Amino acid sequence: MYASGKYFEASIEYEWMIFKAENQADLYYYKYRKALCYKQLRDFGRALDELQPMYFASANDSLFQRVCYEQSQCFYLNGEPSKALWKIDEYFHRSADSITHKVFMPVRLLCLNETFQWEEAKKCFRRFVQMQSFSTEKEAEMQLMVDNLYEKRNLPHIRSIKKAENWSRFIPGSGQIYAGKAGEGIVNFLLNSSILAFSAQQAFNGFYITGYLAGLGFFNKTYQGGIKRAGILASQKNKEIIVNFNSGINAMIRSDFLN
Amino acid sequence: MRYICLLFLLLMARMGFAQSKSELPFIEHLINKGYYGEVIHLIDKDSLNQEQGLRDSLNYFKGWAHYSLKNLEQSSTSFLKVGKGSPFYLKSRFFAGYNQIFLENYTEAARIISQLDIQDEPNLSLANFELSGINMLQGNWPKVKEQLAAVNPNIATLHQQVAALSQICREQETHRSKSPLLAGLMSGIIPGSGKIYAGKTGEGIASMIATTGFGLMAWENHRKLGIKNLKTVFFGGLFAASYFSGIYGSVISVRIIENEYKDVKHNQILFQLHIPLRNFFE
Repeated sequence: MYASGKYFEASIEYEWMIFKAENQADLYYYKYRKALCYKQLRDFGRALDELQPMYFASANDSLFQRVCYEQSQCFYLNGEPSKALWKIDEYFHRSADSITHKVFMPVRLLCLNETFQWEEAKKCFRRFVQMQSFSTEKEAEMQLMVDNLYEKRNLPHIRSIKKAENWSRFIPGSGQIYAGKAGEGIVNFLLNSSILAFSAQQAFNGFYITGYLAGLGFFNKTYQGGIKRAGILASQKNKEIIVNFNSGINAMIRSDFLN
Repeated sequence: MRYICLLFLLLMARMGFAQSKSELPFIEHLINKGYYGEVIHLIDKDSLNQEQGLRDSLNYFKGWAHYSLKNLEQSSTSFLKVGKGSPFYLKSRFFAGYNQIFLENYTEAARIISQLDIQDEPNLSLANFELSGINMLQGNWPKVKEQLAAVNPNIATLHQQVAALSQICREQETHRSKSPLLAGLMSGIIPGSGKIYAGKTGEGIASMIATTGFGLMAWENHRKLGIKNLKTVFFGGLFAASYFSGIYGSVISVRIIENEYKDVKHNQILFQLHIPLRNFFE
């Protein structure tokens, strides 16, 4: 059923086997297989629910590695890279067999990138290259490529949310420009400055109530909203950048390492 | 021939394996673990050609799975298929009735529970209790008291809920509805006061500040530029819009508050009707 793509039906079959399992080893294996069904169904939460309660007394258990690997992958795919890193680190800590670490490296690398830990990501990538059975020349070439990729000038330009908000605090609209939305920033700047100008003009002509309420009251809303919007845009831009960066690395791993 | 025999054996083994999935302990195991979708899928696939007793149990579990997934219409349909001879019969009927109450099909709910033809306690009291709840939800208050009085006071599992329903009855008797007309009138005199009367204090204060602000701006422009100036007309228009929408908002607020009160009471009744069902049958 699993092989024919009927993952939901296969998950019920595995639950049946779990129900009938007579020892813990079988139980864990079926739970692991059931989690794979949920993973295929892209229900990562339920996959993690199956994998999480398993406890392995010995790190040498071959299933332990597979369970940890699936857990870290499900955490990553579920948008929780920090938890994926925590799971991988737990495995590395418990398992002395560094050969088995190799399989975790791509997920670890993607998670480190997603959490902007560039130095650690570079070390991870270099280590992953060392673990391959490349020729000396090829390995040197790949290490050079990794060094080049993680050079400061080649790293994605991550926008600071705080900085975007502060820019908009001092010059309305500038935070949006910093976050990569120049058009929106200019419109925001023009809107805020027109309201402020209207307010000043009203006060100058003796319309103090109108200037204060219609001008400053409205300005307060657009100004505060602009600050918040700048932060949101910076965060969205960061996500977009990191997805592009990681897809490049993903494609590289697929073509140069997995073939 | 050998291959045909082998194929036949494999087919039989597969059928036997598939059939065994509808074993009640496994279905119960799935229910306990919260795999309701899986239960429905299995029963739909396997329930044909089952003997009557097993079919009743499967219908009950299917009803329970749908109930847990809040598919109340399908849950009722499955519960109502459970035959009289099944140990799940009473529970299924009561829950089918409760589903219909939740779906606001009160006549159907009353029909299902009345048709039970129960003569002995404590189920008779439970049926009267549920019927009193249905009458409450329909607004038949005199009948509610009559039916609550028919509930045996010595049944501990119903005691608290009867008291709670009686309390709701008393509150209904003393509840005084707020007048939308008065709220509108109050907002006409002091902007926002109608909303405060309706119980939306925050909204009332916000409306008061906004209307006063627009009024002040209209006054300032009128004083300095005259009534015919475009700016005065603009801010005067804003003030008028804020003022009249405040009056309309106050009328609506009273209706919203009254509906909220009804919803709270409705949910309280549903909650009280649900508790004894769980206590009686679990």
